[in-house]
Amino acid sequence: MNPTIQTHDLSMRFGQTEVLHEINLAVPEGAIYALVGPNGAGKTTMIKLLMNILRPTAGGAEVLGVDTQRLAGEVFSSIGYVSENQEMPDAMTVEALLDFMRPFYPQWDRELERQLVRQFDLPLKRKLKHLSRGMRMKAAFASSLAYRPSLIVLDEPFTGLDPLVRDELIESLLERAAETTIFLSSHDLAEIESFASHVGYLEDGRMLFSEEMTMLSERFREVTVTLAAPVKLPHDLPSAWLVPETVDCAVRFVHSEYRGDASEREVAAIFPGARDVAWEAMPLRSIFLAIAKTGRTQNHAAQTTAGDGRPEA
Amino acid sequence: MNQILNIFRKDTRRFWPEIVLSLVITAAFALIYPVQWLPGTGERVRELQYLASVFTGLVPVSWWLLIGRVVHAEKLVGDRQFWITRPYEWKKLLGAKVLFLLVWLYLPFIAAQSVLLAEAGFHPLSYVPGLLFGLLLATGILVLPLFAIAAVTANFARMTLTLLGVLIALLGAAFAANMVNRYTAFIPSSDRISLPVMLCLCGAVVLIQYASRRVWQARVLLIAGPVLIAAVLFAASRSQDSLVNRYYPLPASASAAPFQLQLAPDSRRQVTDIRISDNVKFINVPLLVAGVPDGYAIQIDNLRATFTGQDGFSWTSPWQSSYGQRFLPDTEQTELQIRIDPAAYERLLKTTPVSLHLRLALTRIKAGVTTSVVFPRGNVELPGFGICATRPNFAFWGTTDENMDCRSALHLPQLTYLVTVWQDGPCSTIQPTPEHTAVAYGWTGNLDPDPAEFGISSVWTPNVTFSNRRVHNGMADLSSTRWRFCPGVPFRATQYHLVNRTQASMTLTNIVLPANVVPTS
Repeated sequence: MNPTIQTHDLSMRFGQTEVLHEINLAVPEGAIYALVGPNGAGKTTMIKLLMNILRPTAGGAEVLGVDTQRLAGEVFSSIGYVSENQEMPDAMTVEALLDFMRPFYPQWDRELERQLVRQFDLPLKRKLKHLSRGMRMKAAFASSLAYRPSLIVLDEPFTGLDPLVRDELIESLLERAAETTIFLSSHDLAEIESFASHVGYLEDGRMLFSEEMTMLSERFREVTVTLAAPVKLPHDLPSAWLVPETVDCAVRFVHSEYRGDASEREVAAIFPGARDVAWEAMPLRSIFLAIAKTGRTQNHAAQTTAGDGRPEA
Repeated sequence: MNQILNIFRKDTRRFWPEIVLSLVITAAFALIYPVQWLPGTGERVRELQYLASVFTGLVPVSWWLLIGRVVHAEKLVGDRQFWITRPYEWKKLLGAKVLFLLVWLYLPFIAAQSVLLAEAGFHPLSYVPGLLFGLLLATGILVLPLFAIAAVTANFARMTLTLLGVLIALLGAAFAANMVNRYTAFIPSSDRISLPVMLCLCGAVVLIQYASRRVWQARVLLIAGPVLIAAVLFAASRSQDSLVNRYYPLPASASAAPFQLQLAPDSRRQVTDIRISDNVKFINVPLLVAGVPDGYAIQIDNLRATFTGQDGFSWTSPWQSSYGQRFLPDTEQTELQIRIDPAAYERLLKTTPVSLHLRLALTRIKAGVTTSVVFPRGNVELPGFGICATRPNFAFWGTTDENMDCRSALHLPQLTYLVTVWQDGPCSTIQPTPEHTAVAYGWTGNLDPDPAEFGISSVWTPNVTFSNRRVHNGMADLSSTRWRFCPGVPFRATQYHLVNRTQASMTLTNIVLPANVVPTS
């Protein structure tokens, strides 16, 4: 089965600034893919590249089997795109917006439209510019879901929304999940953890990983090794052990390549006198924090090394 | 087609206030503009004429508003627009915008132009090709440039600022060109470059934007266009010699000059000078004219003068326009105005008298249809020219004075020579004595063969200015304002057509330059 979204070394520069660096990812059909990362990581740029709003400086991507640089016109009748920053036709009423959009989509479902209007409690006669942020987002959702798109792309759709509206929107998305692929970006891990099937982590324009949530949860373990006496951390710890630290007689780290018995034997080999080793599954938030800390530590180390290597003035 | 109509309906619903405003302005223009030629006099008429001018100016302003608003409804600059991730097809989006302009800009405009033609006494259906050509000109000169600017700007305010910038740049370029080249020659058809270039460039900008939204490419192209035109015009102004030689071919050596000029100073007609400023100086050279064949006329478009002093000092002017001075077979004398470098003039003064070698770029024109009528009190239709009428003309000191007003459809009339009789006294005088009448002559129109000229109004009111030998050159013993053009006088209009353009050379000797240089201001 072809992935709904696939990128090949997708890169983007704005002048001298590299915003995305050789991104490779595949979003399978039917997935709910969450692209997460801190602000400024490149998530919005990535989505704009996928939607052919921007053109990549290198590499490429396909969406629904179409080269993104050819993405235009009819293909968009299968894509629903909603962004927090989207400029809506504010002078239109909700009703006029839906009336105007309907003829663009041969598969527009009037019954679903009515259902969405009811579900979101949309004021049909009110102009978009007079709607609250939450209501505007609901109107955007309604105009993007009513034609049952094969792919829904959402750029930070829940940012700044109150929890009630956010839950309503998530609920409406999940109702469509069986018939569509959803690709959304967010910097809020908690909001996507409950429903995403796949996750990609973007930081400083680089994709640190991209995989299924279940695989991710399986792969990461928080490990606490209790020793008989305090020890200094060895220098040659495996690279899959993230953010290692010692607290009295305990050594803590995050194992990013957990493989059951093999990983336990590996720990036993490095800490032969361990009195106890605890392995705990991790919530998504803790996984990302560990990855983020590792990335920053590595960046700092790299900068320090580079600084050391400079000749003195 | 459904998408085109869907977007068109949406735009029409959204921009109905702008549409109504534009329609009101166009309708008001069509209703008021006929005051330019309808009979009437007095302060009220002057007010209406002023109002007609205002509405004539407001029509393109309403276009600017309509085009800006409708293009920016689906703006092409930016990456946050709602529509760019919707199944819009660019050709249909562009088609919808074009349809909007066809319905709400072109149709009202052509309706207004047709109404004006009908009001002026011309049957609009007889002028369909000219009306369509006029629309093409309006598209190239106004609509497409406005469309292109709207396509590369993000909102109406930026469009307006860009438009102002373009206007300032054009004015600056014109000023700079004038500063660089003070001697401007008339080159026939020189403006024929600009329209096709503007159509192509602005069309390309619009297509690039709608097809791919490559904003910077489009902007560079839009900036490059006027720069290219300016560069071409600048290069042309620097090589006027070759341009004049191209459009006015040198005659075969064996062929005789089409007419003769001879220096003709007498007690009343001397070489005179006019000093406008430290850098601008003209001299007027009185000449005798002979040899213009019957049925023809000679129009001097440009001249190039070489003055040579007795000590061998010589100064040659660049080609300079002589403003279409025309000689008929019965023309006996004239004055040729020559712009001269003040420093060269001062130098030549030391060796006066001087010789003057003239190279003249000429247009030979041939008389065609002549219409002779006794001018009636109402309108008279002159075939191939237009419709003329006498009109009480409001004079500044509070009296009315009869004059002649003409109107022509879609462009100025074919170049026409008019001959009539003036009357010194009120038109109510039943039979003026010969000493109170004078034959009056006038030229009007041009040799442009196009079916229409660019204009908001489809009706042109050519300027008809008569003169006679007594009035000419300010030597009249009666003020021209006292001479009236009255109904019942004989009137003759002769159309002239282009025969060819050529050059002629002649040398005048023994020209005494006036030494007393008196600034006129």
